Amino acid sequence: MKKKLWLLAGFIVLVGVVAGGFAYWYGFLRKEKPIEKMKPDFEISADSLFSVFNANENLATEKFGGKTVLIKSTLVSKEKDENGNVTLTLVDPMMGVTCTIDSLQAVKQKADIDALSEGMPVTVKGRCDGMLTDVKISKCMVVK
Amino acid sequence: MNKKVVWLVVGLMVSMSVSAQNRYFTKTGHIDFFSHTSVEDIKAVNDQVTSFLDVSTGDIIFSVLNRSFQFAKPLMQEHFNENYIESEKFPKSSFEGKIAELKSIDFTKPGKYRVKVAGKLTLHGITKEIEAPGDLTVGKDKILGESVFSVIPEDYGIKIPSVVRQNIAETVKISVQMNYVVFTPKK
Repeated sequence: MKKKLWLLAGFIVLVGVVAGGFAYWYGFLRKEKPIEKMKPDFEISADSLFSVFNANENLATEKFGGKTVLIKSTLVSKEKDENGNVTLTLVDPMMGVTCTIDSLQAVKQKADIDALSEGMPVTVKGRCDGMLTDVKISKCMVVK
Repeated sequence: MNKKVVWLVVGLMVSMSVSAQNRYFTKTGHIDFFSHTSVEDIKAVNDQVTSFLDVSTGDIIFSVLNRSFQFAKPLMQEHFNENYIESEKFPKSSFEGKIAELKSIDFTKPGKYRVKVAGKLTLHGITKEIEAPGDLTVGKDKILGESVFSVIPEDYGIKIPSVVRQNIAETVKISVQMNYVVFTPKK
């Protein structure tokens, strides 16, 4: 009987340690899944994506908001800010699709980004955040 | 509020074709917020802010997507979007206001000017009047706008559960940095 109690106590402590460890990892150590490993929820052209948002922003936000999208388009412009983030503009500067490659990803993909020039076809993957005057895509990467 | 901001932006864009040199814009503006407590510091950054500045009237508009705020820890970002700002219900935050004492700023003369901006800040679906100090650094065909001010999340109906009350400051510091360029209307 005593042995069973010890076993039970040991089991409870073990479960507590595992649960505590998991909670600590989940809250403090867990990293965001890198965009390279994210499977796209949608594959769409930049023109179509903007058109969908322009037609009904609320419905489009419901469908695409927070989702990973793979977008094919022609590059309108490429700009790097003082923090090292790179912005790729697709379709139109004001009413198109704007993709932000953060500084860490921009360092990792320097050669791919340097190879991009205005007017050339480009495929990007990122998270759709919604629409302001343009559709905003963050956590972007260039897909080769 | 979102429709109103969209119409204001559209109005500004239409009027831009009349005198473009008076209008400046950015769609890669920077806003971050910082919460400091003895338990932890929380910072989130948004580098995708759209803003318009009309130097002839002093009108200034910011619009941000709440989902575009990036946190150091995924859990913080999840809590922010799901429990606090409720990004699904309130996807955008915005500010519409005016620069006070516009006449004291010479937008043809490069330099740094101290300004006051007053207007309506909308967060979490609640709009409040705010006033904030700022700096405008005028350059050739560009203006850098900077401001730091504080916001009390509970004023905007953002409820902080008691279990994390000690982790989140009652007053959050907001820093704004906009690199405006002259708006060139599409031909």
